[in-house]
Parts: sequence; structure tokens; C-alpha cells
Amino acid sequence: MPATLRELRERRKSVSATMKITKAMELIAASRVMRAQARARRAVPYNEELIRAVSDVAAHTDELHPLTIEPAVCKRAAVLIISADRGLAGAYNANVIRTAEGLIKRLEEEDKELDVYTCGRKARDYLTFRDRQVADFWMDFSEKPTYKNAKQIGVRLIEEFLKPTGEGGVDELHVVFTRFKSMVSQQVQIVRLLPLEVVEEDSTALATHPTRMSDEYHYEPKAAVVLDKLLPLYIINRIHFALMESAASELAARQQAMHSATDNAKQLIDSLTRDANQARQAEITQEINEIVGGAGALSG
Amino acid sequence: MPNGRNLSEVAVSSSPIQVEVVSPEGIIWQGEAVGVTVRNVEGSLGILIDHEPLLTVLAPGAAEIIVEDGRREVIAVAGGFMSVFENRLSILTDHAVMGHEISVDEARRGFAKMADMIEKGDYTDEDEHLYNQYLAQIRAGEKYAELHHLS
Repeated sequence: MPATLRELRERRKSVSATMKITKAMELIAASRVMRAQARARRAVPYNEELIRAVSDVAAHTDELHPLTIEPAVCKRAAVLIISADRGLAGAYNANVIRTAEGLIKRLEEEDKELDVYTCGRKARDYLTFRDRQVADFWMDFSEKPTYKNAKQIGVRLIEEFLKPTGEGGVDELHVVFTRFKSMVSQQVQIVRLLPLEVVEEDSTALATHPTRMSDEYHYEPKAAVVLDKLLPLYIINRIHFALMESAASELAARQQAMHSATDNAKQLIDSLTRDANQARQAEITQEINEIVGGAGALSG
Repeated sequence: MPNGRNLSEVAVSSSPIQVEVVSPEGIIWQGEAVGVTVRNVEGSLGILIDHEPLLTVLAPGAAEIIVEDGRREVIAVAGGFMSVFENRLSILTDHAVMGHEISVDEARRGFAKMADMIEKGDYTDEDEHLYNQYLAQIRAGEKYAELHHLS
């Protein structure tokens, strides 16, 4: 039996209520993406200065810093997965998790023990639901990460890295995060953060400011100590960058998802309206038929 | 090209220092200066025009920037780095506050609390970081107050 007029109208009302919500979420996400991008832009000068300083000092010292030493054999690896706290962002979380699963599988095939760290509620939920170990997690800031968040994560992970392998220390650290390419395109990336290689393929900082003659530099205290202070900052800064990119990606993905949800709702409302009109017309026709039939029967 | 560089150095020798104080939250201060005083791990350090290239680790404290007209900017810098190269000076820190935004009393209260915790040995990296921030704010706040009572 086709839906009655009342049912169709009810359904249309509920869809349009949902549409209002998705529309609002779309607008909110749009304005937040803008802010997230502005924040990312504000961090650029710091990022550039830091990269410049690190490459200057790195060029000056021959000493190997513990954070840059490649272990002979890698026994234990850490993976940091950066996901969102909330869903409703299209395939954003699914993409991150799928890529992370691929990485985890690859590392396990290489016979490495794994410590998984997560950022954002979704990745943690995914893993704990499947009874998988999460070494540590951070959450409730996926849309608006601060430097402090990055610092917390960075300090913890550096500590794990510097621990001897025998005591559960990790030999390498991979980060899975989402690069913000544009409002319509975000790409999940895997970056090996530790041991550190100071190359910045995406930044124009080094291209526009070629490394200066570092021999001329005077260091206070000596270069090795300066490097010792700089490198952790560099790593924290990379994590900060990954968090900010992921936040912008999350919001852009959410905006897009909510935009298509709003579009779908509009289409649904249109077709429900049409169905409702048809049902109304059918009802009227039937009523007329009944009246005409009734009158005919009386006069007959 | 050493010759070319020497020439350009002569040409720019009288120009002021381009100063930039940056934190991950953005550029805190940017401008031209004739001199900058900071506190590094070895003590107080003054930078004038045409200083030799330098990269140093900063201690929490005040960065005092003397602007060309003799005005002084005071900025609380909670550690970080300073690099000087060809009259470009940049201070890189994860926390910086302008002098006029500092409340010394508030910083003192926070500092006392953190100092207490650190003395007891019961503290995290986060606490230590806050300790440095308050210390920098007190030092900078006092300097700022001193400057403004004088003028």
C-alpha cells in the first residue's frame, strides 16, 4: 500500500528538520576551516625559522645526535595515528584508519613489535573495539589543536624513542595524518618522524633562504648543546604541523560531507513533496469518485 | 663571492636590525631596532647593529628591544633560541608575551605555586614549562614597570 498523505508529510517534515541541522553544521565547519587555516598560516614564520636554525646547526656539527641515529636493527616501532574526535566527516576517519592499518600490517610483516598511539577519539575507539592495545592516547582537541597538545605528545614520544630498546623503547616513529591540499582534497600521509632526517620537502623555507655559511656562526653554548635543545623542538613542531593539517582536513571533510547531506535532503524533500502532492490528488479524485458514484446510485 | 659580500656589508652597515619574535601562535613582534638585550644561558647578552652571526639558547627572561627613536619594547620570552645573521635577528620561542600585557602579580602567584611544586620534586614537564613562563613574565614585567616609571 502506498504511503498515506499524512505519512508523506511527516517524513518531509523530519527530512527538512535534518536538513536544517546539516546546513548549520556545514556553515560551522566552513567558518572553522577558515580559522584553522589562519592558525596554520600564523605558525609558518616559526616553522621556517626553526627549520633554518636546525639546518644551520646540523651543517655545523659532525656529531651524531641520538635523535638522528639509525638503529642497526629496528625491533620496535611506534605509530601515531591522528584522527578526529567526531564522525560526520565523510570518509575522513575511515581513510586515516585504513592507511594506518596498512602501515601497521607492513611493519608487522617486517617483524617489528608495535606501539600504537592515537590522537582523536575515533582511532582509539576503533582499536579498543577490536581489543587492540593502545599505548597511549590524546583526545578532545582534534578540531583545534594547540602547540601545548603537540608538546605533550612530542615529549612523550621522544621519551619513548630515547629509552633503550630493552626497556621497551621504540626504534622508529611513524605518524599517520591528513594533509590539507584544498577544500575539496585531503590526503592521508605517512611520515617517519624518528630517527630524524632534517629535510623539508614541502617547505619553501630552504629554497628561499639557502643555508648560510654556518662556519661563521658563533654558538652559545657550543653547537652540539644547541642542537640538543633544537631537535626536540623540531619534532614537536612537526607534530604541531601534522595536528593542524589534520584539523583543517577534518573540518573541510566535514563541510563537504554536510554539504552533500544537505543536497541529498533537498532532493529527498523535492521527491517527497511530489509524492505528497500525488497522494493528495489521488485522495481528492477518489473522494469525487465516491460522491459521483453515491449520487449516481441514489438517482438511479 | 667574498668581494661582493664585503661591499654589500659596507652598504648596509648603518641600517637597523630587523627583529622578529616568533612563536607557534604567530609573530609576536616585528620591526626595526638599534639594539636588543636578551638573557641567554650564560647571562645577559646585548646585540647591536652588525653583530657577528650567533645562535644561542635563551633562558626565561625579558627581551628588551631598543627601537630607533629610543623607545623600548619589553617582551617576556620563556626560553627558546635567538639567531643573529646579517642584521636579521630572530627570537624563536614557544611562549612570548608583550610587556604591557603582563600582570606581574599574577605571574608571581603562579610562580610561587610552581616553585613550591618543583621544590617538593612533584612536577611534570608541563609544570616546569609554566614555571619558566612565569619567571620570564616576572622578569619582563618588572623591567617594563621600571621603564615606565622612569619615563
